[in-house]
Amino acid sequence: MRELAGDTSADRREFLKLLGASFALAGASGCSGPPAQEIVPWIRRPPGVAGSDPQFYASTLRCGGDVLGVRVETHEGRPTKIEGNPLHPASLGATNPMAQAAVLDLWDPGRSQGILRKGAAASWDDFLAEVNGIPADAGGLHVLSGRVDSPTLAAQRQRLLGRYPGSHWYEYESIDNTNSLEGARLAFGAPLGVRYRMDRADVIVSLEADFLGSMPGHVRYARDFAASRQPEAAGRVERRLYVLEATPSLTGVKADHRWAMASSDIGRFAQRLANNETPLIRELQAKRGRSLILVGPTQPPFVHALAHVLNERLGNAGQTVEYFEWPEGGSESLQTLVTNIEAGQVKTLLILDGNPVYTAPADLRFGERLGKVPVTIHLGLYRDETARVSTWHLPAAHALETWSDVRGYDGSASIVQPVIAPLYGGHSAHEVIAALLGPDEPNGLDLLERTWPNLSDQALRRGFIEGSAPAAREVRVNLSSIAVPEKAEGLELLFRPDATVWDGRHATNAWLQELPKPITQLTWGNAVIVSPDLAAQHKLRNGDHVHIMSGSNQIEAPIWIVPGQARSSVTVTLGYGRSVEGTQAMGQGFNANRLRMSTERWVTRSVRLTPTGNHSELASTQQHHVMEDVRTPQKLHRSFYAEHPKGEYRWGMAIDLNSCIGCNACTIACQAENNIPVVGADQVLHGREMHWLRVDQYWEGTRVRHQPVACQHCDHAPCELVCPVGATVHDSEGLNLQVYNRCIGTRFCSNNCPYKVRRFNFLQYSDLKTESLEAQRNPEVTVRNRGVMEKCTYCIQRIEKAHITADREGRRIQDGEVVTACQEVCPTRAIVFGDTSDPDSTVSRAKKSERNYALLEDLNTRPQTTYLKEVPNPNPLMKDDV
Amino acid sequence: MSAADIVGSLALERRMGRGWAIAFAVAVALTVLLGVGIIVLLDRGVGIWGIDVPVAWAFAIADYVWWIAMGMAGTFISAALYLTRQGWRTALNRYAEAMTVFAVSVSGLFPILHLGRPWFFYWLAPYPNRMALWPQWRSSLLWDFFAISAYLLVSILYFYLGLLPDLAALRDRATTRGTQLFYGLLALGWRAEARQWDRFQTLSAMLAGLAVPLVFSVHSMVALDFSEGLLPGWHSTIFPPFFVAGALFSGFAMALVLAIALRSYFGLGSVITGRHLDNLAKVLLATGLFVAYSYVCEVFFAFYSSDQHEIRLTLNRFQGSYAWTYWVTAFCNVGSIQLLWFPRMRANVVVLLTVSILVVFGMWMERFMLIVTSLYRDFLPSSWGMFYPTRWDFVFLFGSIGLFFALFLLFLRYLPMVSMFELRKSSHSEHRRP
Repeated sequence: MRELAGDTSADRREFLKLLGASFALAGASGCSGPPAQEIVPWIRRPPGVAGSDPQFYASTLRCGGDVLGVRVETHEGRPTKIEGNPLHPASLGATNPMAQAAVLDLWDPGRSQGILRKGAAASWDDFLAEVNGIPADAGGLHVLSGRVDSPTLAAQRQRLLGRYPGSHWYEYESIDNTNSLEGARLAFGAPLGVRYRMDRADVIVSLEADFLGSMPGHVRYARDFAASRQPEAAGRVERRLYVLEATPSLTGVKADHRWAMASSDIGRFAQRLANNETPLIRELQAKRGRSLILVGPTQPPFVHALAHVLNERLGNAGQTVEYFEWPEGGSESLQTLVTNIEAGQVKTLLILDGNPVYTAPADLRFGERLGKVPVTIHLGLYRDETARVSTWHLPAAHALETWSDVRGYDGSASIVQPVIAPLYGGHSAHEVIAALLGPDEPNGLDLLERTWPNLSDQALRRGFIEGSAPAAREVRVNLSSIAVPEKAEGLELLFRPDATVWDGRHATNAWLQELPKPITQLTWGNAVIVSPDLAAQHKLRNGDHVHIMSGSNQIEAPIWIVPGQARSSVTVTLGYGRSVEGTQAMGQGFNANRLRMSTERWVTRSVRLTPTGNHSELASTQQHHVMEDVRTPQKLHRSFYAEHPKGEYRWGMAIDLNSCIGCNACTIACQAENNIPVVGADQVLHGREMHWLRVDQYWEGTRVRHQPVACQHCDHAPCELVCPVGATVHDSEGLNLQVYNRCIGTRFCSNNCPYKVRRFNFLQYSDLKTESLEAQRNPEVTVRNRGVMEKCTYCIQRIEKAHITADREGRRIQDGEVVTACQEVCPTRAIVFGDTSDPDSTVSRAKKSERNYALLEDLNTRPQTTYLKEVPNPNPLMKDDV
Repeated sequence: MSAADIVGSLALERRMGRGWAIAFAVAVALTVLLGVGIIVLLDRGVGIWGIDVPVAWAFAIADYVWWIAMGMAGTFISAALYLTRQGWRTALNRYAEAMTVFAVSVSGLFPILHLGRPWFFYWLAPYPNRMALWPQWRSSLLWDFFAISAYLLVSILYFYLGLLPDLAALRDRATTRGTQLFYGLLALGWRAEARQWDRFQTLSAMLAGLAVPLVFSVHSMVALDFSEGLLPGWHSTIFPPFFVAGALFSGFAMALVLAIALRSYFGLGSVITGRHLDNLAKVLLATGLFVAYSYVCEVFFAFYSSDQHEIRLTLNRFQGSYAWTYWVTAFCNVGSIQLLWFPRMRANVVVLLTVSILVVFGMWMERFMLIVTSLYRDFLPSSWGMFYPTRWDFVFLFGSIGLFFALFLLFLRYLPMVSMFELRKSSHSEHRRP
């Protein structure tokens, strides 16, 4: 890779060369470039298997605030798809949307592709020369990183601080759990980590804790939560979820009772709860040891402390909630760095894989202050806001290109394993620190083995280090008094991570940009979320611009009206308003960090909102969010037509709406699996998004009913009837097939589809020009061109693969052998798929539920996909307000 | 000079005047615009239009139905009135047939161009191929393809057959070698022998007999393009007769527009008389009333069916986002024609022209309304969406109007706009009348 170090871009020839090198690496033992080390496949294929079969490698990804164990699917050395690692405790085989999109980041041609010194090309050797010039004992070396959750990086930190006496290491995350740690410090005197056991909790009270959508561990929590609420489960206990929050989250809209309440009022509610002043406490007391009060990281520390008090008093500590020590603490804060810069102590600042110029709170004026540091070194995937003002920019290696390790929500460690050699000559944080530590510091796997001396092939294959989670600690609350702030008047402004681009780190990812954000269904941008009341008060419609003034700062942004929003709260999401040339992040949305203060990172009180009279159209994928009429299925009529010939199997799907939390992971998994193109904001505005699987949402009061809708594979498919060239036909296994080659694009099938699940290539949406994106695509799935209709195929390529395997082994396809992409990714296991002609298959059993129904049943389309009705469990004694 | 001579000299001397030249320039400019539109469409795809999911059909299909409907009146005037021996048709049938041929030709562009991959339109035809692939016979689009092809073929044949005696007459009168050759080749050796006349009569009657059912079948077929779908507002058995009536309605309106224009521009008042306009207006009123009846039936059946989707759609047509299209349609197609009950109004050329133009416009709006209101809100509220036309939608609409008029203006210049031999025949019979 070294020859590329001075280049700023890889052309086609070099790209293909790299690809070849990557292939060599991805084999059993590679030997190109650093790190030239062995990586061990997840499954060793038996001999005789064709080389075109995909290989799976276990690795770990940090994404969306979570750490997920993954299996990376590679075709001939090219990573094409991410699946969850069933052995990993935070994943259990599922992922969130960000993990699905990681593979697109890897291949993104907009990634930084060369080392820069003051904007000019430089080489790694130039960089080494620079760092060798740093005096070891002058104390001018400062390092700013994201949260240190890698044991190996923590060890390197110790060695670095030892080697360079007087140096400092700071941590900054735009979205962090400082409040939670401080809350634990208030309650227990130590900044303990908290992990929950959703499977044991019968009654959950969430105080703005979005444990299904954005809290670390949310994928696992969602699994446990959904499993515990299965209406058909044997020995089932009534489970109930109460949520208090200001702005609707995935957790809130799924609750049995949800109360919209200003974020700054929630602390007082917690106090009333702790003082036994609400009727809710009786239900909690009745479920002693099986209840749970959890608090989101956006609430101030005292609310966390109150929850610790309550959980201890209700006997939940050690049962539904566990405390553990986070081993990698010990860095300083961004504020300290700013103070040190002001004091002129910082001579060299190394920024490891972060973008503080963009993410730092506005009052720190970080970008400006960075100019006072003589030498700044930025390591990052993109030439982002921080890279542009740094002296040095080093392209970072993608997580799929590096060796590392990382701790998950519960403290357990897992391995980050490269599956491809760095495409654009990137370096990992470990390598950069190693460069500072001198030639004796090992790299790659050797470095990992220093942290984990007994690292076995087995652990690499499993991707997960058994028994590495810190044990739960028995702690007692020791709390004297808590100062609860007075009720504030006026509007509060809330800052929240964006559901898809998070704090902006995923803003360059086109899949995530185009993925509809749950609740708002917006794509390619953010908005100021206001309640219908507030909108009516200011006579605002969706997309109308407002000025938000907070202190002396002001931004102009479009609004979006969301029913469950608290009246006195307006919410902005972070991660937009980025300026990274040549990437998808350019020019989308507005930068909410410009209103964010380091002292009030989640809520700013007393902001003013004034309409500006401007308007822009926001690209939402769903315009109507209310189920208009109550359906009364009519009597079904016999068909005049002969039934389709029955084949050996009959594929069908059941989607459990009781489990579905509306996270949209299925949508993006489908996109990754089926080479679905992105179309851009203007095309989404035109209603031309291409997602084969969408998650519809319908508001019911302040709650949302989610419904994933893809092709229903109707037995009496209205689309098949109207195609003049027979481009959509039925097969003997019950599949409704779309023959792309035959399609001439009349679009009658789409008009006639009552579910509107067909997607048309109105323009040339598939990018046929970008070399690297071709490498990303699933070789098993056709790339569609313009003028052709497409839709969900039930992942026919996976069905065919199962057919081939079963035929070769002379047996039937077994239940569970075909797993669709949406099913595989689903955190709550809401989707089951299989052979409905086998009465004992999982899907057949699911369809026997009395909750089972077909969508628009009275149209007599006889869909193969059916839904299991959602059964909420509201408290009959509780009215829907506090 | 007899009326037939006037018509003949118009074609031969080609003194069309300034008005013609201006009209032709505008029409050609619009045609060029259409050409540009087609090139851009082929280069970039149908996404240049405003169509989306759920509204995957809009302007192109509305244009198509509008144009093919326009042709109906021509065939009806020349064929049905021929078979029923309505002598007054002779003044109208030639230009009306030309109108048919051009309108059907223009309309035929749209089903091809609206395809995602227009270069594969021939896959609709059941031609032998190595893959042994046939079209899908249950789809109305396929039968529509046959219906348009058959209709275009028969109307061209019928138009050309009727032209033969006149082409020969022009050949005989032509003074320059070039025109003699031009008309001589087109006349296919017509010598006005008794035997030729005999065959001519037989063939005319046969083609008229073929064309009349086609008037009904083509438009019933177009209607089935919609009623085969299960969408509320489309899935209706009333569509075929409703579409036939609508087609005649808009066709007669267009015939009236052209009649009035030709009459006043070329001074053909003695050929296209007040009686012709009156007759056309009466037919317009009659077909318009049938269309109005269909509108009422649609509403009645929606409520009578007690199907909630149909009821919701009907109410939405009255007051939804596209309600204005419904009320414009109702005003143009039902309201405006009520004037035609009064003989004085039917005698007033300005009123007739205004009403006819309103009907032509209203019938385009009706097709747009029928297509878009059913699509933009179908079954699941989550997939509802709007349709907003782009400039390319208008390029194709106005470009097709330009193409139609360019062809029609060329017809006026090079061919006799009224059937000379029939005019002569009918004037003979009128002279003989006591």
